[in-house]
This record gives sequence, structure tokens and C-alpha cells, in this order.
Amino acid sequence: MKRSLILVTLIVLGWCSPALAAQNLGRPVTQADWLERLPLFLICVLFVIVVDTVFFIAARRRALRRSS
Amino acid sequence: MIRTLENLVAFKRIPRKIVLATLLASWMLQVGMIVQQQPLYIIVLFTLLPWVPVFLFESLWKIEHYHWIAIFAVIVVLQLGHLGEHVAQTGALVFTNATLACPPPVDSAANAQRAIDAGLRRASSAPTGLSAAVIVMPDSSGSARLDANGQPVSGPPACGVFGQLDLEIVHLIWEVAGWLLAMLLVVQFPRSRWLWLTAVLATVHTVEHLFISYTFFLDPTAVYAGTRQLWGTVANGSIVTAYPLGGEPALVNFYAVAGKNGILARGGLVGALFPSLNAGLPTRPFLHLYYNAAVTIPLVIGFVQVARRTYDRYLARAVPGLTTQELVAVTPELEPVRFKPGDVIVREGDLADYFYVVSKGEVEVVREHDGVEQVVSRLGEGEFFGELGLLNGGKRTATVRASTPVEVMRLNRQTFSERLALKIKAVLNLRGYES
Repeated sequence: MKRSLILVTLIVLGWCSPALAAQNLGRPVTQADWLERLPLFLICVLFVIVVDTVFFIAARRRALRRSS
Repeated sequence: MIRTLENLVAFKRIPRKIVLATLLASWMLQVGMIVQQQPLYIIVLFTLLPWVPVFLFESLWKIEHYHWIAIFAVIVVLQLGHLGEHVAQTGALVFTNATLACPPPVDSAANAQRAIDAGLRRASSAPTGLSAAVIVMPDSSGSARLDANGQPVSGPPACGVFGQLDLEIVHLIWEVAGWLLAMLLVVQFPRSRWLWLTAVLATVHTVEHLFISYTFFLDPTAVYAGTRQLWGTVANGSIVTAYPLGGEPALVNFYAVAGKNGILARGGLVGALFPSLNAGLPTRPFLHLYYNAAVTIPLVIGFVQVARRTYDRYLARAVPGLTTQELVAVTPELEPVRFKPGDVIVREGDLADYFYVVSKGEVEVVREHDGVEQVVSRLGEGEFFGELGLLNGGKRTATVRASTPVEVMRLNRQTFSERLALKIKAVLNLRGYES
């Protein structure tokens, strides 16, 4: 479990790292550079949704327990 | 409701004379720093410093007595301070010739040497290591911007009061902590809709900082065309002025050239993917002011809503039959009093004037028989005494002495008679006492 988590993290970080490194040194940022980082944005969103869901379920359960 | 909020912010743990001494120390330090012509962050730091232990001990006491509502209050205070930093930053940008160079340039050996080479500083003056309080605005080439009269335009650094903390790691830790605390508050107070709104808005803000921090910490490849601003610093006493001394072409990473704008700020992800929207988006300082205001406003409303139900946990433990409404009504009337071991809290035969709840330590109840003292019982946290004299309208029936360092919450005779007497009678009847 632990090992697969580390592996997934490494794959995600590798996937999100800019693949254009060491190419066209001294170039300006283009839309392609941003597009390359779009999956990272989605991963950030996914991460917070997962954490939020855990807390919101806990909050909902607590509210139900109190009202019963 | 006002009485409850007042009780929550009033000093309960820290004696009035200590509060006054702190106020005096804070004021003296503030005046001292102003007289010494120290920069703003030093003045504010020394003004706040004496209050740190007072705030800490008072907060710990309130957390012990009011639990999550006190934690909530601490979060509100810290978040308001954080919002203040953002207001200071954007206020400086709007109302002064402030420069967005955060953290501000430091009077380091390299910056001092650059100023010496440019003829701005005497070679004999040593660098102070202080942050610049005044910055001469750079133009697009990195040199000093001049006004219509050919004079350099200068102003404060637009980094809030404590610009030294304007670092991505500080932003990340603060926002993620704020987000998780907002979530914990939702779990504790699930009925407050304002808190749910706070949590959702804090989540959106957190996504921004996670994204920005990724480009800052894990996206280091320097392949983009950028400019490194060179500064020269001159110290006049404690006031450091930073002069822009040209821009050096450099290869920079994604963060430096674009990533620092994050997702929604001008020049960020949304602006890059939808160029027609870019010009209408706020710049990063203003976007983050809006984010913080959006999080803080529902947080404060949620706090006011929840704080109306503040009551003392020790009172609730001592008199379990009280309703939340009754607890809330009595709590502001409780007065904490502390005693050393051996101190007599009430003496047998004295006129009964107060009802007591033990909130810390242990007391012993002593009665005298034929001149010999006998310990009748020992009472600990969440237990009460002093009720029999009040209920019978007469004198103390026993002596109560502190056997350890003790804190009791006392309630005067009138409030006791009006709000507690009936419930206490019921508790005593349950225990088989005759009042």
C-alpha cells in the first residue's frame, strides 16, 4: 500500500513536471506551457475535493447524530 | 448576546494589573521605536510583542473553559490579522508609490556593495541586515523610475506590514492550515451555514496556493527569458532604502515568469487559456485580498452566530440539569478566583455570599467537632460548593480550603437565587440532601 502510494506520487509529479526542460533556452512562456500544467491544476482540485468530502461527511453525520 | 460576546473577549485569566502593565509596556515600546525612527514592521512588532504571552495564556484558559468556541475565536483573530496584512499591501499599492518587491530587498553585503559601486553609499558603513522600508520604484529596464521633474519615485514595499513573511512557503502553510481548520470548525458546528460557506471558499483559495506552490517548489527548470532585478541598499539609521540598479537578463523558472500568478490572477492559468479574459482579471495582490475577504466575512458571521451559545464547561459538568440557554445566561456572571494551597475559600459560620464551581485543583470541606477539624469531603474539577448557605439564606455550614493550587468560578447570591437555586435544589434532592 505504502509502496504503491509512493509510486503513484512519483508518477504524478513526473507527469506534471515540465517536459520541455533544456529546450529553447531563453524563450517566453506560451499557452503550451500552461496547458502542460493543466493536469496539475486538476490534481489539486481533485485532492481538495477528496479532503473536503471526508470532512463534510463527518460534519453531516455529526449534525444527524445531534438532531436524533 | 452582547454580554456573551463581551465575556468571550474580556480578560478572565490575566489579572487587570498585568493587562495594564502590558498596555503600558506595549505603549512605551511603541513610542521608543517611533522616537528611534525604526521602520514600520519593527514598530508594530514591538507594539505586539508584550501581548503575545497575555494572548497565549488568556486563549489557553478560554479553550479550557469554552472549548471549540475559544479555538474558533483564536482562528478569527489570526485570520483578521492576516486580512489586515492584505489590506495593508493593497492599500499601499492604491494610495502610495509602493513597489511590489516581496519580500523587500535586504541591506545585505551584496546589495550594500552594489550601492557603494554606484556611488550611493559610503564604503565605511556596514550592512545592517534590515529589510528595506523605502523602495525607489524600478522602471521596465530595472533602473530608477523618474517623475516629471526627473526625481526618483519612491514609496514603501507593497508587502504588508511584515513583508519578510511574504514567502510562498508561509502562504502555503497559512492557507492550508486555515482550510483544514475551517473544515474542523464545520465538523464541530455543522449547523452553521456560514461556516460551510467559509469552508468552500477556503477550499478554492487553497487550490490557488497548492498550484502556485507546485510551480515554486517542484518546477525549478530555468528555461524562460526573464530579468533579475538588481538592488543597491543605503541605510540611514534603521531605515533602509533600496535603489533599483538595472535588470540583469537571466534564465528563470516557470514560477518567476508566470506561475506566481496562479490560476485566477492576471497572467495566470485562466488568463493564459482564455486571453480575452486576461485584462479583466485582478492582479495577484488584489485577487488574494478578495479571497481573504471572502473567507473572513462568513467566518466572522459564523463566529458571532456560534458564540451566542458559549457556556462554561465546568458549570455544565457541575450542574448537569441546566439547559444550554440557562448555561449561556449564567456563564458571563461567573467570576474566576484563584487560591494557593491552604487558603480558606469559605469559613464555617461566615455569611454566605457566593456559590462556587471548582475549575482547577482540589478543595477540602472541613467541619469542626469539639474543636477538632474533620475533613468531610474533597471536591475536584466540575464540582460545586457553597450552595447550602445560599439556599438556607444563612451562614456557611463548613469551611472549604484549597488543598492544591485552585481556581474556582464564583457566582453572586442574586444570580444564584434567580437562575440556579431551583436546579441546585433538584440536584441535592437527587443526591438525597435536605436543603
